[in-house]
Amino acid sequence: MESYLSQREALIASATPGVAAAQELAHITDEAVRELARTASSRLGGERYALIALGGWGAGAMLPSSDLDILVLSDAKERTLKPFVEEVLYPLWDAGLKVGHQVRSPKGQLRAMRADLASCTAALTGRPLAGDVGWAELVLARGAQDAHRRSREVLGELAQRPRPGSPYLLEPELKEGAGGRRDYDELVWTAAVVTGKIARTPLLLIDAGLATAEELGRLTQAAETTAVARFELARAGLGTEMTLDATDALHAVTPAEVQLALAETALVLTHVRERLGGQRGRDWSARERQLARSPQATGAPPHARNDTEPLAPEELFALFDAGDAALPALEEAAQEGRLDGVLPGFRDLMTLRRPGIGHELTVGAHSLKAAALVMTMPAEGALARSREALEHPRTLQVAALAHDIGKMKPGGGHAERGVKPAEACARAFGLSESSAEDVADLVFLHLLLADSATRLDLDDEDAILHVAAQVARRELLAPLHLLTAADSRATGPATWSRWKESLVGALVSRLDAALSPDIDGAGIAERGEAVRAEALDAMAEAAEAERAFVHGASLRYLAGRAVSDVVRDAHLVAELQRSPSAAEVRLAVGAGPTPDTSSVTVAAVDRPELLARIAGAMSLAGLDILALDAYGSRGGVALDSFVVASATRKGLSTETFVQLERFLRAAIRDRLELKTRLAERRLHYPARAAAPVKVETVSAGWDTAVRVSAPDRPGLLHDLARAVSATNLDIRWAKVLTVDGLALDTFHVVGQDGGPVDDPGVIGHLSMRMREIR
Amino acid sequence: MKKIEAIIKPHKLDDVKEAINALGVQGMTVSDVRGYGRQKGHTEIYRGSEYTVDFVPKVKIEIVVADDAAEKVEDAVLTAARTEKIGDGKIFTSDVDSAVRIRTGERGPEAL
Repeated sequence: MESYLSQREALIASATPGVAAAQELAHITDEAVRELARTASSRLGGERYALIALGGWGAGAMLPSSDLDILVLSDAKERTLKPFVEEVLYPLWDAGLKVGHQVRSPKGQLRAMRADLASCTAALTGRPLAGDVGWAELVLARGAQDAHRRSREVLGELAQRPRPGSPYLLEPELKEGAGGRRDYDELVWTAAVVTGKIARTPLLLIDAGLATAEELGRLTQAAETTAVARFELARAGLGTEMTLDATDALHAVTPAEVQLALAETALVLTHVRERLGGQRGRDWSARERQLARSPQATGAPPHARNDTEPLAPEELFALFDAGDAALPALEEAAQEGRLDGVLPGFRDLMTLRRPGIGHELTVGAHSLKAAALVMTMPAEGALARSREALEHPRTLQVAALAHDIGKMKPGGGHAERGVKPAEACARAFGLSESSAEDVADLVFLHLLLADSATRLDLDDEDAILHVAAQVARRELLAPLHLLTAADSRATGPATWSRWKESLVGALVSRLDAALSPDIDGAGIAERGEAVRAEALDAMAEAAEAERAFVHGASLRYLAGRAVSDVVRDAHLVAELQRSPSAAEVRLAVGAGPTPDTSSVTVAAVDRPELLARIAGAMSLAGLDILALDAYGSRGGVALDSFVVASATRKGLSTETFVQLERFLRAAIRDRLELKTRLAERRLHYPARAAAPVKVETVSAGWDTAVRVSAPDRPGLLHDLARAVSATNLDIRWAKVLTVDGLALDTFHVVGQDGGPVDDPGVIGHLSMRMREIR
Repeated sequence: MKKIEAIIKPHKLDDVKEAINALGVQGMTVSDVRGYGRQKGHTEIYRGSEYTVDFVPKVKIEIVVADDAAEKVEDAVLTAARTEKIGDGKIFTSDVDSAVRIRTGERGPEAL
């Protein structure tokens, strides 16, 4: 025994891993057990016996981690057999080997094979080692013949055998998992059952017309690769799962080769099962499975089947529409290269490993899952709305299939690399040119929402506008949302959670608002950045504080201003910031758009009711506000740009603006009784139109738009702005116009959390306050 | 030892991580959480009717440090996570009785 153990240890440590090493290990184990049996046989007093190696050992391939499964076959009584069995097994147990044993009579063995699938399959690869070998072979052969007579039942049970996982998992189980050693074993057992002969390889399947020589060639190569990997993992003291950490222990094969071996093994098993008509293990209906096969091939004799016939687009769409249940058929078709017609190289993607955080599947299997999920996954809330808004489901399914095609080459930027092949794929599917462009855009953008939702402040308008500029087209938003969800779900269970779903949903609803025709967020971002760049160019010599203003300015502000205005505003704000007083205000006055008007830009340190104070001061200075762009506050400074006209017959003069500046300073320092003074002024200058105040509110994604139409009169803007402040809301930006005596004002307001105002009660109060303004 | 637990806005995680690293703190535990405090949560309106009151997505970070480092870490989180809006989150600091590094069996601050 000691000699065996040292031989075994040396072999495990030094052998070139693979089937040959496994055979060598089985061979030296045979010799050791034979020797034990020879010594112990004197205990039997001449009774007939045989020792039979079962399972992998019986098939002649033993890995370092394999159990020694021994069947002791004898008609002798128990008390006669016990000392013999103990003398054979004790040394093995004492050596720390894992030994499984059964002691049975020939009749008992046949009964066990009938009663239990595991006993049956173990014996189908059985190999007599010692004792009456010829007799043992007869008993095993009888068992095989019996299994052949019950082949329908045995093969049915085999088809139900659990095959956990998928051959396309990045961390596959190499023994029990799909594509692993048990799949190979099933082919050997099937060969034994259909021929009624003991089998140690699947070669008999060729004679039985169930497999081609080419298939078995690939299978043998795959079995060798898997054996190498298992041998190396066992040698490193690791289990049978090829975890990402465990791949470091592989030297003679690459993880990619193992992945391919698993896929090939699973594929051959599927073909053999199909040829047997054994589809019991699938919940995939016969009709749907038929769709996965080309019409010509369906029903054709096994050897004539053309498994390389490409799947037609309508067949693929039918499979995608069937969702998760279609994945096995999709995976098989892809592994057979039958998707390469629409997406060349897709077969290679099936075994391509690009491990990343949370990734469970190979690139191809992940892509198929995304395509199958994108229209069938459960959707609620924002995702349900995106699905309802979706106009071209086929475009989306093609984008989901092709979204990771750029991963064929390693390295970052796969979304960009995937654009051209994805576009070609869309054409191969027969989609229109505009749909092909959509597919290309979706593939290019498929990471954008998931990345942005977790990394950006969703209450930051500029952040939303920048993302909107990348999406560019509102109609892409719904499919992009669905693609993001399907991509994440297909990646792994940890990648898509309610947490992430709610963040992505919030981002999509803000983007939807940003891309609406009313807002044109993409245009704002584009124009804003262009103005920023030009202004910075024009201010190359300006002070750092002025340039800092331009760097930090909001896109909405920049998009609404001319470059010259921005340069002037930067100067104004920098001047204000140099002032030690927080109650400081700065004015810039210029010519207005028409001869009787002036433009006035006011920069002031932000404070409660600032806009109301400025508007009130303008009214007292005898100015009519014809237009206003309020850009909100950045860095604690608010900037408002007005177009004003004289409210009296006096006309605009320098004196008017000197007075305005005086009023502004007083209003900001709380030294002006604005309410009383404006009420007096209203007595002299009543409203010029007699229309009711109308208020309408719209949630615009990241803020709430309050649209007001009211008859213009002195102090109206002051009163409206005060109503907003009194409701504890902030004005993010505002646009005001006065046309024919009617003020048309839009205030974009946010709550204390910086987001849109969801509470209907708060909106109701604001509307009421505004309607009460007389 | 003190355990500092902070609930912050998701987009502030990188800032907080940088601030903590700058103090030389070696590790933290981060989880995706959802909840609501004064921020209440979102009420969504779909086809004219409110259909769900959802929790607000946040990130929870947990850091255990020696007593004398707790205040600095707390301040760093406070500064890095602040946007001055409702929903910025909370910081909770509590005493930790013991800590053991499982691999080596070290106990107390050495285990951190």
